[in-house]
Amino acid sequence: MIGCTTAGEIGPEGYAGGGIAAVGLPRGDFAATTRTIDAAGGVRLSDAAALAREMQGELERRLAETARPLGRRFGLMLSDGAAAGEDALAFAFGEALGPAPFLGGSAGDADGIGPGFVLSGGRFASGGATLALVETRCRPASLRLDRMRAGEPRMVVTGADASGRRVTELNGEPAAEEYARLAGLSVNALDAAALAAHPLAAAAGGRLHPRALRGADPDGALRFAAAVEEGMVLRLAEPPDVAAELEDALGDLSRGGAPEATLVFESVLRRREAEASQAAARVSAAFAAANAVGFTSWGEQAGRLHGSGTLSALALYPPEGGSPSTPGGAP
Amino acid sequence: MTGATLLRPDDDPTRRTEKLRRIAEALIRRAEGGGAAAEGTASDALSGPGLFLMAAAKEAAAGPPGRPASRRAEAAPGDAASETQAVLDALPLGVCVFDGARRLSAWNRRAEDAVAGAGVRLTRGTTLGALAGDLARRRWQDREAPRRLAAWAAAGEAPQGPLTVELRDVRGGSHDVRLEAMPEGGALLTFEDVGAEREALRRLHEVNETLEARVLERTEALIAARDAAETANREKTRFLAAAGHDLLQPLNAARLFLAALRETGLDPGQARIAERLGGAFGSVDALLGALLDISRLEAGEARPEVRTFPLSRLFDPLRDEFGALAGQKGLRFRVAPSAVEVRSDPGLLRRALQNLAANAVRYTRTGTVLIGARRRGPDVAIEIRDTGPGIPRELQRAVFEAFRRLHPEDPEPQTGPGGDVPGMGLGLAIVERACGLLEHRLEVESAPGRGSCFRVLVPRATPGRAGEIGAAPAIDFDLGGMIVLLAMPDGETRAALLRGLEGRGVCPVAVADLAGAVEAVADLGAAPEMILAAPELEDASGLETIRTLRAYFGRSAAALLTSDPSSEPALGREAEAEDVELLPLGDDGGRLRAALAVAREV
Repeated sequence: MIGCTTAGEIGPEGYAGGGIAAVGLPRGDFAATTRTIDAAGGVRLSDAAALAREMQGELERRLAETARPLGRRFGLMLSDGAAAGEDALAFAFGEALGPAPFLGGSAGDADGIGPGFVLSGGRFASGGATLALVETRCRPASLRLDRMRAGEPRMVVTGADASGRRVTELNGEPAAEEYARLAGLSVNALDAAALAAHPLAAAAGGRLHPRALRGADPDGALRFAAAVEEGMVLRLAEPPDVAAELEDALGDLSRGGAPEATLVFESVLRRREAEASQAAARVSAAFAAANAVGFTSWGEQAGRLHGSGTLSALALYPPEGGSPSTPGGAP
Repeated sequence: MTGATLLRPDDDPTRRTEKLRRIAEALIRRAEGGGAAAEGTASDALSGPGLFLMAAAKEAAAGPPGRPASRRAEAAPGDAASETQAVLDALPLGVCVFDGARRLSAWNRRAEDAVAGAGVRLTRGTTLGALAGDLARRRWQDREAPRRLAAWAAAGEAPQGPLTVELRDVRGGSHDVRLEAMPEGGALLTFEDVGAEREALRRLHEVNETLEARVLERTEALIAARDAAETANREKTRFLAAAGHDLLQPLNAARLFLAALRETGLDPGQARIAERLGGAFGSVDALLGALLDISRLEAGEARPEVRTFPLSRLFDPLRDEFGALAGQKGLRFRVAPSAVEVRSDPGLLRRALQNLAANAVRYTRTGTVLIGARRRGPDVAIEIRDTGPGIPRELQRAVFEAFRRLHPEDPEPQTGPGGDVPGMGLGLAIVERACGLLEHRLEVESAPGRGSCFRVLVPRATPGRAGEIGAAPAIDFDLGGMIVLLAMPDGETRAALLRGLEGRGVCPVAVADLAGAVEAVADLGAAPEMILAAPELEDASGLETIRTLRAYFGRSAAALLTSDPSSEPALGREAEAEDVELLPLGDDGGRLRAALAVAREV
């Protein structure tokens, strides 16, 4: 059993809070291997790659023991959103899994201030990351929502504490102040709603990626939910139309019939935006229709990328040829 | 994007430079680190952001997972490098970045433009030394600036501070160029376009210079003119003072000799000549006295000594001095007695009044000269009225200038008493300067053919209690100097009234009929303060007389004097309709005094 603390849950009714979202994978259709490591101070890429290889070997040994290959694989990661090792782990596992989906969410509290706690082996720990490699008879399909429409104002990170994902200076000015100036906000009003309404994006790989802000520190620095560094160019972006985008994407996933279950890791920024734009009910309905189960996250893995401000999901369809046991979600 | 969003509008130039340097440094550092990620060699050396860049590149190559891209259009796709270039291009200054090996690794459009003026093109990998050397070989307006850049570059990585020079190309472009070392051996070369700024400054400077020159020129001319005027004035004053003193002594001697000569038993012909000589010397004496007065006043030597004294102290001598002279000319001359006390310098004020009186007597051919005082607010207005030719309005200021006479042909130079200055037109100039020193206001009221009234306003020593006037106007009211026209056919009554009025300080002008009244008021040049008329005159009724005078000369208070007003109710109503009072003759003047007091107050 693996799990984590969250900033909110997603269950059969859509958005929920203060509950536990859990998913059980029937042993008949799934085989899994899990490992938890300490990722607080960062993880070397080579170590992460070695771990991926090791877990893949273990999974194959297990499948060989039972002599029943199930056919399809995917990877999951639940991690403390304050752990700096997420990037290396995501890259290594995404790389190792190749075309197979790798996804996950970063844990954190609703304020985005405290660390997230990851449950593994019956205990919760901060700074950790739990990884799972799963083989299944169910057909998986992954989904990533991370498109941004960016505005013109750019800001250059001129001071950053990369290991803490903190930006101390933008354009040579205190970061929170400069962000507030360009977003047209008061530096004293950088609350969750304001941050959600004025998201940031960074270009990479030929496109823009959201760069979610966790909050402003008292010293005028900005805390991010994903990697930052000096010289990074950030742009103010428009908040996404969360409900329409999700209805669209989940509708596509359900075209040949609704998934048995959809694992969802959705950024807290998206949830706040949905709530602020009175779209939470629509989002909940879309989640419910896709049998979604998941949580509100402070960072999302999708393939090799550890992103933030995005939605990462995995739909599981019934095994071809029918199955006596299908996965089911429970709140 | 514009560079303005990267910088704040209120940044000062120093802050701006510092921020731009930090931005450029950060961009360069990342561009160099990002190179490894872009080349796709994953290693432990890659930081989180580097992994992010590489992951993004690989994910992009692999295509979106499971689902095609959202239908929503992406506003501005880009990778980190193009974002870096976008920011560099948006910087409001030219930037050339040299990596650790001092090779050109990044630059922007403005940097290209800056060196294009000298025909230099930027290419990746050029060393700083080569670029600076190339610049130094090109044509610039000032060859020294590029040489200094080349020298800085040639020093290699030896630690040295930033260098700033101004490069002015032959096409008129101008840039502030800054070259400085970056961490890890790199260098940063920036170009700030100051062409427009320098041009504006140069123009401003030119305008300032011409303006300054013009102001200077003009100021010098004005100073010269002022100095000349001051010098001329000082010299005139000094000359007058010297001439006056030097002339007075032999003059006095001459008069003494003349007096002695007259004692030697001259025959009548000689005596007449001697008398005329005496008169001529008197004139010269008076003229010199006036010249001395005016030079003293102008030189500021005369310091007024203000004290309280009764006006009668000046009025009584005036009556004596000018009465006889006016009588010789056939003029009526009256000084209304006054009990009022004033605060002034008696000597200076006397000088002023003497000159005003002398002027009035001299220029008046027929009619009357009146001197009187009346209250005006906290002051006493001393008036010198005459029935002379009058002064046109436009010349009323000019009469106070020295050596100015309006009617030069008019009076023959003659000896006058006291301060009478014949001929030279110095009298009013003295009056004006004396009043100026005393800070007494001087007014003129005059019109051609209507006579003149000069008025000096002197502070009253004991302010009157205005509230009492309405309550008991007859009691002890100052009627001094009040001008009253008395139209009475009967000589005896007229004479009696005249004496009574004069006894109260009133200045009455007595006539027998309407024709006389018109002539007298015309002489006076101003409406009398009050008209007192008999019900019937020889050529008109009393009311007609009043009506006529009011119509021509302005509204005066008026009363009909009759022996028994109550027996003539019809006349009373008629008079009242025209705002004319009906007063009894011979009730010891009680009601008449009251009426005069009311008229004066009005």
